[in-house]
Parts: sequence; structure tokens; C-alpha cells
Amino acid sequence: MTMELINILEKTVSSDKNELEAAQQFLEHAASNNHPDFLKALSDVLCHPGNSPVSRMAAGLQLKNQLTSKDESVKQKFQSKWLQLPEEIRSYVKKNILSALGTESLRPSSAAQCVAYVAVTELPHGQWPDLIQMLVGNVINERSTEMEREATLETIGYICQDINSDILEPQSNAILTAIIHGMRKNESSNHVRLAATNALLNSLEFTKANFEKESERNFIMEVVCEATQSVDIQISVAALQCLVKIMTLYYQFMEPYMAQALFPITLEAMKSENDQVALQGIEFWSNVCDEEIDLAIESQEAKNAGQTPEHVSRHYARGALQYLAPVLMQKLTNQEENDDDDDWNPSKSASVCLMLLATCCEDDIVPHVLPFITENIKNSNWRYRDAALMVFSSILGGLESQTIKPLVEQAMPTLIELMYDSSVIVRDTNAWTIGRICEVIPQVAIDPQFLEQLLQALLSQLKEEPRVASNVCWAFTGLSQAAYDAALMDEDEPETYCLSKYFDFIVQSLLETTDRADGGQSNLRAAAYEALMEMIKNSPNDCYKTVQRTTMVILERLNQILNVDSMIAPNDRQKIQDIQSSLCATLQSVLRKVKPEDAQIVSDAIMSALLMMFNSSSGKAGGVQEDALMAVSTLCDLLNEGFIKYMEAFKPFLYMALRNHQDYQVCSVAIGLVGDIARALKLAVIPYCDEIMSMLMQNLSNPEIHRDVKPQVLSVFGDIALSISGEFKKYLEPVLDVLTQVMGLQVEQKDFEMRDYFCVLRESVLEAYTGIVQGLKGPDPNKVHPDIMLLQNHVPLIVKYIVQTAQDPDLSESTMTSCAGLIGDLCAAFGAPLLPYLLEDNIVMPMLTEGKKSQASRTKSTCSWALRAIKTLKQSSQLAPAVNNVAQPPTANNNNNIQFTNNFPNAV
Amino acid sequence: MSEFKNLYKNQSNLAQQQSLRRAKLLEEQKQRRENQFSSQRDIKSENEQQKKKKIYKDFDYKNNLMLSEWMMETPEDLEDFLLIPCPKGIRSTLSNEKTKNKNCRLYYKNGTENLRFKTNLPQQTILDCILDKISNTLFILDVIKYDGRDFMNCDTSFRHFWIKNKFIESDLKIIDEESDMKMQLLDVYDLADSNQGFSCFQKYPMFNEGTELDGFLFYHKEADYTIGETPLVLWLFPFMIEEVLSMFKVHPNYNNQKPDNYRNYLDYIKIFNETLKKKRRSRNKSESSMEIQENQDENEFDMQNEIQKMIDLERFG
Repeated sequence: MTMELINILEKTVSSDKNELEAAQQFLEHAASNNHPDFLKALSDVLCHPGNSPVSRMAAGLQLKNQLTSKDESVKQKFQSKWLQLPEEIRSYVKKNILSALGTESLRPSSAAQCVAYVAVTELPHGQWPDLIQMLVGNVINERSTEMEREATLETIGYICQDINSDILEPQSNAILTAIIHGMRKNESSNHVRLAATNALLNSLEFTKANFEKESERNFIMEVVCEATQSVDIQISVAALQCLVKIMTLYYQFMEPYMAQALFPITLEAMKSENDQVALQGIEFWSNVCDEEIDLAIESQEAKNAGQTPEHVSRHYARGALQYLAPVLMQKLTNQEENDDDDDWNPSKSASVCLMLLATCCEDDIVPHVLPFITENIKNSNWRYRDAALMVFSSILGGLESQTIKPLVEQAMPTLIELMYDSSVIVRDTNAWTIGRICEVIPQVAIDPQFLEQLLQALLSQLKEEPRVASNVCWAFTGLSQAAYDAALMDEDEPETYCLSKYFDFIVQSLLETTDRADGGQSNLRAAAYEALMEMIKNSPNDCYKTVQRTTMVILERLNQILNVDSMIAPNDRQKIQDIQSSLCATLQSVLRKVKPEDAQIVSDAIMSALLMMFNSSSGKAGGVQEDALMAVSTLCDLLNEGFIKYMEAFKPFLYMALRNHQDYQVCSVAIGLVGDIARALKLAVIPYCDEIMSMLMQNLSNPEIHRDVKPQVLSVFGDIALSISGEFKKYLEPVLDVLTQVMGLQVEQKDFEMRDYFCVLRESVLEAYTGIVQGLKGPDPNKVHPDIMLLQNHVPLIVKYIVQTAQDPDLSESTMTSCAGLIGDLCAAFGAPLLPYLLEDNIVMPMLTEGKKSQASRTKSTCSWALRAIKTLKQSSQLAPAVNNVAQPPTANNNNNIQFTNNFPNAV
Repeated sequence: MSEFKNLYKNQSNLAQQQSLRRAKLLEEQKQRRENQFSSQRDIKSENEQQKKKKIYKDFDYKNNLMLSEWMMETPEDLEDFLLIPCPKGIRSTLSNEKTKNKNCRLYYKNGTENLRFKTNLPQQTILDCILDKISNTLFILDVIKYDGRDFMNCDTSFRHFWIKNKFIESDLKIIDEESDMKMQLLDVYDLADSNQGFSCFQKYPMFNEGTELDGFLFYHKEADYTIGETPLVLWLFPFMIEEVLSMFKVHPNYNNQKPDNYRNYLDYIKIFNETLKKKRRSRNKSESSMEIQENQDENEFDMQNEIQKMIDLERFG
């Protein structure tokens, strides 16, 4: 087999397409047919130095591809398949790949990857315990060859990159020893040094203990700083990357190194002619600013709470400001002439760094940059005009409004002039600047002394190059918000605003822009639709005619695009889908604005277009489907009971989306829509409930489905229960079962992501109960429907859950409000017998009292209401001694096999 | 690559926009859910309590009511008319067409919003009514839309039959804790039965204490609800009844209410119309302040000033 395999492996790099395909087919067949022998054979090819370098590399690659994948679920399958292999096969392969380390002649080593991915699979299960020691030994051993040490360090780097850092923490000393050994100045091989530096970059997260010890930290910092000075650019860049990361992770330890080493090293790096080096230098200071912005917030919060902050800012950015600003501004003049959106270069990076610097240092930055702006904004060289604009625009966000207002007012005439600049780059930056002004200091943008000229300039640039027009669209977004906010007196729609006169023309121009043939460039079409949506959203009463007309235009376009759906060339498919998404999104924005009586008139046409879209081929694309479902949601909210006439026709698409487990975003929007439909149709939703409830239950029990879907399902249970009141009885038992299971979940405090998810889940449980309680007890405040007694046995459990929730030190106001609401509803439903449960631990009352003082009116009013409800019960129970009709907590009924806890935390 | 790349210019992309839309929708849905929960509770939102009063105008409720003409002579088919005694007050439209959760809005004839309160009327209902601020009573005169059903094309008999039944059947009322206003259906007398006419004109006081009689409306039984003035709805002040409808006698107190300059009904109608025209003209001149002016007029209804009174009565002119 070996000879044949080598042959085949060599063909995997063949330029002949047929040979290539045949080789791949053979390998796939071998992998699925005789997996263990295939792996053994591959490791044989890899480990024999006599085989051709290409075949060895290909063997390593194939082996690696049997161990890992970019797709998380595929990766997990590979890993469990490996772990199930007989011990003898695994040791055979492991022995081979380990001995192959350092014997290859091609870079990068494929044996290193094989060893690393076996390690990533086995180490978390406590297997291959001696591996790390062996690897460390390889690096330190004087007799190891350069190739051995390099490949081994690469292996360590890969492992560090892909494994949960907790697993390596106990061995961090050994690993760090090997890495630092390879990074030393007197390491003669640059290959080894580079591999070591890259490995360090990946290991920084779990070497906290080492950074906390001064002597070890000093040693690490010394080695890293030395590496930044290497003449080998790759080593220097990698070492600078380490500094960037160290700065973020270990800011508090950096004091002794800052002035002597870090500042000079990074400032020099910023000035470097080499872009990669310069980028890391700039990135270092961007990180410093970002860190210090966070620290400033932390300090302010602590101050507000009357505490001392845990960490303090050393204000490195402020100290370095005067040295950094000139270098950054100089970098800004090195723009790429033919800029590609995806390229990242020092000029772009400098703009971002200036932004962060301004946010961090606020008004202090002005004297360091203002001369550059005023000297260069009219410079004959476009690079300087553009740089001046970039500086101006970048710092806007950081300044106090009293500083910024006169500056912008003064600049406005020049900015309007620059809209017609000969350089497209300058016009692009200028349009962006206007957008920033609308965002940061909108009152100047809509100042009558500039407005008309500004609009003229913007509208003329809307017809220019896509990149300029795209930025103009963004400026319109900001402008319309600014104008609307200025006209807004309270929550009612303003009668008119300063853009009313121009509104129709702007909308027409934006509609024309969406139709431009070059709309695909610079995201122009999407930006124009986005601006259109914002214009519509922020329109006052006297622009309503245009809103009506736009509705018809959008509808027409939707129908047009559906008519061509079947004849779209495959290349255009994505473009058409994007347009459909944009049209659906625009439809949502006009529908939100349309008067109910107009909605009645256009709803049939809109719904039939949307149904056609669901039916079309591009309607199967997730993005399009999602936006179409969102449009249905808006329509449903608008029509209320009137939506019923579309249910039969829409049902199949809704159900299809609810079953779309692959594209969880579609499924998730569909679930939210079920809630809207229940709210709108009320009792009329009953005929659909059996099917919907069963699909929702399936979504809960499906371990494959994205976990974000699950809390939404719970909330929607509440929506349905409230809409159909007593009719919910038949679903009650399984739903209560699920809720009981979810209430029993515990989460590790350490896992932040999991904690966030847990909070979302908790809020959805509260929402579900609220809907169920309100639904069963009925709407009459004076007459509680007897159906509520079906919940009686469950009440102690609910109260216990509320009490447990109330004890969360990080309780959000939103969750607190949900708790208060549910408490009030329970009081109304169950009366005085509830009191002992509520008052037992003296937890609920303090929470409600605290909530009553909240700034948020919903929290305040709901908590006050709940307190009143409890007070009323107390008074009534003093009059008549309570009869305890709330039973003891039931034992959770697990007959219904709902997979909720089973797959927690993996799948929930 | 930089971790701050997305800060450069506006590096947005389609996927981002869609996820923003998604987040916004989720937020909206949560809001709708919360509003629905709150609507089931008798929470007085701090917001609502402190809500600033702002002039809110809806052109859908501007000049949307059926108005009367003067009854200049006895109609030949008087027995085909329904008689409704009207209290003094502000002619208004009550609607919950654009609101949710039992909220109703009351609009002046010019479409300006006057009051908000909750009722137990079914959603999508519009009633024609008269607001008497003194007795704090909303008198229901007619039904334009009920529970989504349009009554514009129904004749007067049916409209009155319907709304009367609904009042009894569903115990229609204002259910707002913050409002002690009452809602009351006006009595309807069928002139086919001359006894009903006689007893109506003789009734004094016409309404409960605090509510004064303004005049009488005569609705033709077969008249559909049409917008604006119509000869199928006629109007007389109480002190004119005996002159126009000689077969009836009114309670003596009504005849005592004749204004000082009153000579006969035709003369009075002439003066009334002219004064009204003048007032309207002067109003149109100062158009910019018209809306506010109008509101003031209506708010200052209580003033017992002759012209002022006529302006308020403009609704029947």
C-alpha cells in the first residue's frame, strides 16, 4: 500500500486536474473505508526520511485533516473518532509523527501540525501526559538539530493557539522555559527564534503566573524587547506583536519598562519604513489608548459608586501624546493612491490611533494637531489636504462639544468647498468628515447658514465615484437623524423639520443611487438603501406623501425583481439577493411609518410580494428569508387581527423557517414572528397552535440547533399563553416541565459567555411565566379565572426562582423589572396565600424597594406596583387569616423527554 | 491586522447592517411584549403621569362629522325624523382607531386632540359625541364605526338602534382610573309617535343637574352618515320650536331663554349666520395662529359671552 499511497500523495499537488481529482477520491475512499490503517500508513509516509519531501508533506497534511477542521462540529467529530481508536493504533501514529519532527526539509513542518492536533485532542482528556516534557526536552537539548528545535517550537505554538489555556496552565513553566530558550539573543538560528517568538505570542494568556513574578517578568520582557531589535523583520514584527498583546494583558505590570524600553522601541517602530513594523508600533499605542479609555470609565464608575477603582490608568497615552501625534500625522500623508478597502496600512492605522488618542486625551490633543490641520487643509498637494481632513475627522469624537463647535463652524465653509475637490480621495474623506460631524455635533450640520450649501454639495457628490457617494449616503443618515432629533418635542411625530423642503428631492436622489450600475462598488447600493431607510424613519408629518410614494416604488421594485428571479445568471445571484434584502428592509422602514388606513390598502400587495419572494429561488437564501420575515413582522404588528387573512398562505413558509435548524438566524426571526402573530391574532391564533407548539418544542429538544434560539422559544411560550388564555391548558404540562428544567440549571461563575447566556435564559423564563400567569388568570382584574389553579402546584417553584434571581449581585434592571412584574401578577392571581413565600427570606421586598428608586421609569413603576400589590395582600390577610392553598413544590416531572439540560452547556 | 480596523472610516458591511436590523427587531419585539404585559396590569406609568400636554392634530378627524342645517319650516315628513335633545358642550370625535390597549382619544372638530382616556369600547370604534366639561360627561350622539364595522352607510335608525343595544349589552363606559368622566348615550325620541315628541319638549330640566340643554337635533331616519352639512339633519334652539313646529309646546322655561335682541326665528338665524361669518373671516386672516386660537376658543367655552357661544355652536350652523 505504501508505494501506491506515496504516488497518490504526490499527485495531490499535481497541476493536472484529473490526476488531482483521482488522488483526492482515492484518499477520501481510504479515509472512510479503513480509517485506522489509513492513519497508520500516512504516519509511515511522513516519518520516513527516504520518501520524497512532497509526499511526506502531503501525508502530514492528510493526517492533520483527519484530526481538525475549521468547522467546530466537524472538528468535534474528528476528535471523538480519534479518541475511540484502539490504543495501539494511536501510539503507533504518535510515535511516527513525533519522530518525524525535525526530519523534514520543507517549511513549515507538517509533522508539527500533526503532533499539535493530536495533542489538542488528547491533552484535555489527560492522555499523552509526557508530551510537553518531551517537546521541552527537544528544544533545550544541546544535541537537537536546528530543524528539530524549530519544528518543536512550532508544535508548541500550535498547541498553545488551539487548546483551552486552563489545560496548559500547570505546565506553563516548562513551556515558557522552552520558548524563552529559543528566543534568546544568542540563538544562532533565526528560524528557531521566529518559531519561539510566535509560540510566545500564543502562550501569553496562560503565563499570567509568570508575569506576576517580577524576576520572571523581567526576564521575559528583556527577551521580547531584544527580539524586537532583530534585523530579521519577521522576528521583529512577531516580537512587537508580543508587546502589543502583553500591554493589553498585563498593563498594570508595565510601569518599569515603559519609559526605558517600551516607549522608545514602539516609537521607533512607528517611524519605520517597513509597513509591518510600523503597523505594530501604531497598534501598540492604539491598545494603550483603548486600555486607558476603559480604565477612565472604570475610575468614573468607581467614583460614582463612592469606591476606589481596582485598576488605575498611568496615562501613558497622555504622556506620549506630543511624540505620537507628529508621527501619526506624518503617516497619514502616505496614503495608498489606489486604495483597496481590504488593505490595512500605516496610514489607515494612524487615523484609527488618532481617534483613540483623542478619546483618551480629549481636548489635550488639540494643540498638537490643530496647526497641522490649518496649515495643510488647503495645501496644493492632495496628500496633505487629505491628511489634514483625516486628522480633523479622527479627533472629532474625542473633544468636548464646546471645543468642537467653534472648530467645526469655522471649518464648515472649507469643508463645503472641499466637496468639489479635484482628488477623489479628498472628496471621499471629506464626505466621511461631514458624516462624522452629523454624528458628533449635528447642530452645526443643520445650522441654517450652512444647510442649503451643504445639501447641494452632498447631492452633487451622490452622483460621483461610488466610494464618495457611499460616504455621502452615510452623511445623509446622520443628517436626517440630526434634523429629526432637533424637531422632536416629545414622543409625537413632529409636524415639519429643516429638511422638509428638500425631503422629496433627497429621497428621489437616493432612489436613483440605489439604481446605479456601479452600486456594487464600495457598498454603495446598500449604503443608499440604508440612508433611504433612515430618511423615511426620521421623517415628519409633512413628508408623508413622499413616504407613501416610496412605499409604492419599493413595492414595484420588489415585484420587478421577482419577475426576473428565474433568469438570473449565477454570478448575479448574490447581488440580487442583496437587493432583495435591502428592499425588504426598506419595506420595514416605510411600513413603520405608514398610517394604519394606508397599511390596510397596501398590505395585500406587500404580502403577496413577500409570499412570492418566499416561494422564489432566492427566497431560500437565509439572508433574504430573514429580511422578508422581518418585514412580515412589521406588517403583522401594523395590521393586528387583520393579519389573519394571510395566515393560510403564509403558514407553510413560517413553518419551514421554524424548522430551519441549519440557519438559526432564520429560525430565530421566525420564532420572534410567532410571538408577533400571537399578539396580533389573539384567540384567532388557536387553530395554528398545535403545529407551532410542536415545532417550538422540537427546537428546544434539538441538540444541534444554535443555543440562542432556545431562550426565544421560552419567551414566545409566554406570548402564546397570554394570547390564547385558557386554551393554553393543553400545552401547560410540557411547557412547565421545560421551565422547571431550565430553572434548575447552574452556571459556572467563571465562564462569562455562559453567564451572559444564562441571564438571557433567565429573563426568558420570567417572560414565559408572566405570559402564562396573565393568560390563565384572564384580563379581568377583579375576577381571576379558575384556570389559574392549574399553576397552583408550581407557584412555590416560581417564587423560589424569583428569590434566587433577586440574590444575583449583578441583577440587571430589566430582569428586576421582569421579577417585579411576575410578583405582581402572582399576587393578583393567588392572593394572600402567596405572602409567606414572598416574604420568607426577606429578599423580595428589598429588591422591589431598590427598584422603586430606579431611574428607569418602567422599573420604577413596575416595582412600585408590585409593592402596592403585596401591601394590599398584607392588609387583606390581616383581616382574614390566610388559608394555605398553595401546595408544596412538586417534584420535577421528567416523563416528557425534553432535551434541555442534557445538552447543557454544550448545545443550549 | 488590527483589532481596531472597523473604526476606520465607515467600514460597515451588509452582514453588519442585517444583524443591526435583527437586533432592532428583537428589541422591538421585547418592547411589544413588555407593553402587553404592562397593559394587563393597572400600572400608572410615571411617564404617563408626567406627560407634557402637547397640541396633537390628526387631519383624519378634521371636519369629519355630520352637521345640521337650520330647520326653516316644518318638514312634510316630520314623522320620519328622530329627535335628539342636545346638551351644551363641544362637538367631538371619540376614536380608538389609532391607539391600542383601550386607549381612546377625543378630537375637536378641527382634528386637534383634546383628551385621552381608556374606555371599554372595542378596538376600531369611532363615535360622534358632545363633551360637557361642566358635568364632565361625554354624551354619545352617533356611531360612525364600531368594532371595525363601518356605519357610514347605515341609516340613522339602525345606527341608533345599534349603539343603544351595545350600550346596554356591553355596559360601555370609561374605565380610566385617572379620569372621572362619564360616558352617556343621548336619548332618542321617535316623532312618528307624537307622544314622544310632546313629552320630550315638555321635559325640564332635560338633563341631570349641571348639564344645560343647547337645542334639538332632528335626524331623518333614512339618512346615511354623511360628512358635513346635510338637510337630513336639522337644528333648532329650544326657544324656536313653537314657531317652527306649531303643533308642539315647549316647557315655558325654554321660551324664557330667548336672547334680548330676539324678534323671530328667521331674523335670529340671519343675525346668527352673519356674526358667524364675520368671526370666521377674522379668524382666517390670522391663519398662522389659527390652530391655537381655535383651541383657546374651545377651551374657553365656559364663558357666557354671546359670540363665544355662537362659535361653540358653529358645529350646528
